Amino acid sequence: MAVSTNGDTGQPTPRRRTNRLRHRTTLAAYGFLLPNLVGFLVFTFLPVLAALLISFTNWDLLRPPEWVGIANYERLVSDSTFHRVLRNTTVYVLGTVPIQMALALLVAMALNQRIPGRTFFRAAYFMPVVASTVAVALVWRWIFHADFGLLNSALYMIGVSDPPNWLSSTRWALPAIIIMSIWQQVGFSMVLFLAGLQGVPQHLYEAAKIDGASQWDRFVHITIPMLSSTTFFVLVISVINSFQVFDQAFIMTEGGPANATNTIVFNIYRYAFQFFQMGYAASMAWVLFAIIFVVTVVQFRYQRQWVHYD
Amino acid sequence: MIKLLIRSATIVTFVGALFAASAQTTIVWSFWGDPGELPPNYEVIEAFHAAQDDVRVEVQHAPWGAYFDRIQTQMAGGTAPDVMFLNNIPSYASRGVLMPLDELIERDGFDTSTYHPGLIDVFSYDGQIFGFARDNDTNVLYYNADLFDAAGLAYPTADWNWDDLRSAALVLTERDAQGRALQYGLALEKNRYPQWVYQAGGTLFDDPLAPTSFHMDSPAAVQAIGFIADMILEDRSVPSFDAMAQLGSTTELFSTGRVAMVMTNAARMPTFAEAGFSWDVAPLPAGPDGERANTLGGAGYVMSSTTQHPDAAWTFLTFLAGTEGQSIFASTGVAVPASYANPDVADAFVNACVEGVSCDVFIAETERGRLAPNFPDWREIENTIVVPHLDLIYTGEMSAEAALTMMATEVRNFMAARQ
Repeated sequence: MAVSTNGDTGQPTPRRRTNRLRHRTTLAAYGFLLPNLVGFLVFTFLPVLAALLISFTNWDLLRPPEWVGIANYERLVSDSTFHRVLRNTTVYVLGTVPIQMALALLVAMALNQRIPGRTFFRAAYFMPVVASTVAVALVWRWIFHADFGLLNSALYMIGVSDPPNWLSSTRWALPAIIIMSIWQQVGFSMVLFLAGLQGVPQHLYEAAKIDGASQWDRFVHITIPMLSSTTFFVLVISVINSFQVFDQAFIMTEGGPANATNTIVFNIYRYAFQFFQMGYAASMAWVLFAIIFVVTVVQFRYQRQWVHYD
Repeated sequence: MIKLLIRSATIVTFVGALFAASAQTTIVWSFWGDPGELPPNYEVIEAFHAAQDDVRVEVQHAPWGAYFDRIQTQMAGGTAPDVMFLNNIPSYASRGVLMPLDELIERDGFDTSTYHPGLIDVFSYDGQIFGFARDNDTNVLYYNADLFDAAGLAYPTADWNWDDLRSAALVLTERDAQGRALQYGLALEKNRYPQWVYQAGGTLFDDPLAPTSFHMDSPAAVQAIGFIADMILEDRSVPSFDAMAQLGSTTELFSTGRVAMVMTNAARMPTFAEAGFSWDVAPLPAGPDGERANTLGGAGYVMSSTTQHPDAAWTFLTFLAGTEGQSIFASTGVAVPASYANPDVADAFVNACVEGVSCDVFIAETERGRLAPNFPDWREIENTIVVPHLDLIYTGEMSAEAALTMMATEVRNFMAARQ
């Protein structure tokens, strides 16, 4: 269409001038995008592509890679450790994300009230997010200690005579890590929910109040729908982050006992940098990528049914 | 004429000196270590520079966490340091990045006989020697003499066997009203299970360096792992391995008096020396049939296969691995020298040891060292199959016999698939 308007009269038309202007702004926009884009291409996109190629090879870092086709992916299908880490990671995601988001919303609503010490509490709940996972994990290792940990001492006091061995137990180690992660991540989601809550117009609540809506009704029919775009964002980010869980397993348990806390990324790390099987590790990384990709696409698809952007 | 001669002679000497100066070769030596561990490394360089003029040594240092990534990258790029401090030699040697040393050893008649034969083996691959261990990770039984006195127990002796250890550990364990341990009898390190299997008369593989069969389901291995598990679960005189990771380390437990005995290496002595109680070391107790065994292995020095200066690197390597270099490290008193059979080196260690401690025990126990598995696939087998099954035993979820049978099947399948 744009091309056909040219040439007939040989005169510059207004349309053409706008085109040129638009062209120039487009160029400028790309110019501004460029630094970030180059960074993305060089440090993210190309390595990701390279990882895909590597996943079809056997490569120990030192000798040249050897092309093996889909052998690494075939190995994944029958690798019981990999099945275990898939299951652990899924349990971790399902365990952390919903609880963490619900708690974050609760805390955000509480800290959206005019209560004394509000700024202090906001900072306090956000602290775990900025604290180093290494330090946090070391402290939680103490908290979870079977005999002298804070948690079990508290359980003793309320009358639990045989509290779990937490990190020493194949049954309780993963829940322990989930508990710690929830504590660690609540602050981040809380800040996002707080921002969302402050964007909800007060007059909606006032109008509802006049109409006789209860507090619960106001929460369900105003807060939840008005926060849906924030909730969606928090959900997508939390799910992606949770699938990539690594530090907790690495520092707290080294994936043990008996692989009870081994996660996909920790397993990738092991195969890549402890066993020097880059190809096999890359194939796991791509499976993880595929999982996150599918889950995220599904989330975007279904957002229409519950997310409102106005 | 004479003048001319003198003049030309002067010129020749001058040119010669120039050549000599430019013939000085600089090599790179890499090692890891915390700041506290580094002084002997620089001491060695100083001594080496003082001893000869031809070779100069430059240092490439990185902390443990960053060291191996960097070395790997350099190896891949063909720019690895000429001389490297390294462990897990077979996994590198099998990838062709290390220099075989047999010809050089033969050429210079370098004396390898003061090293434990096992330490030579673990630095060999495919019948060739690739380097020399610096020290050996010998374990001994440290005991808190004050706690023994308080319990009215006799100190551990060289005649102790497993039963003596177990009953003493039980007596030395103290609990509160809720049954929680306030003081443990004995602390162990998780990765030491091979020496227990050996003490019971068992073995992990037929050959720890070139295995063809796996034997962790043998009665002896079942007995050894079961023995550890019983002390953790039944007696509760040994803290579980995860609980220990949570409490800090064997070092912390022992130096704060919360455990009466600990099996660990010489590196802990300086920390223990600052603890406010009297302690000493004893040999590891003998197994049920009197079998004795200790850990053998440690990190050491190798040469890069891509070095531009093989002769200079070899000169430095032999200095490091010879009497002088070994004595400098031995005289820190925190690691048992690998060439402990060299009397000068052994003396340097024993003399530097914490006063009043029976440091000759370390030398005697090193002689009893037996190699743990060390071959290219071992790390994967250990981490993905062996340790998870041991965890199931130590947490009480499976009996030693059942878990080791499962483990053995999986390891055998793994080995069959890799052949």
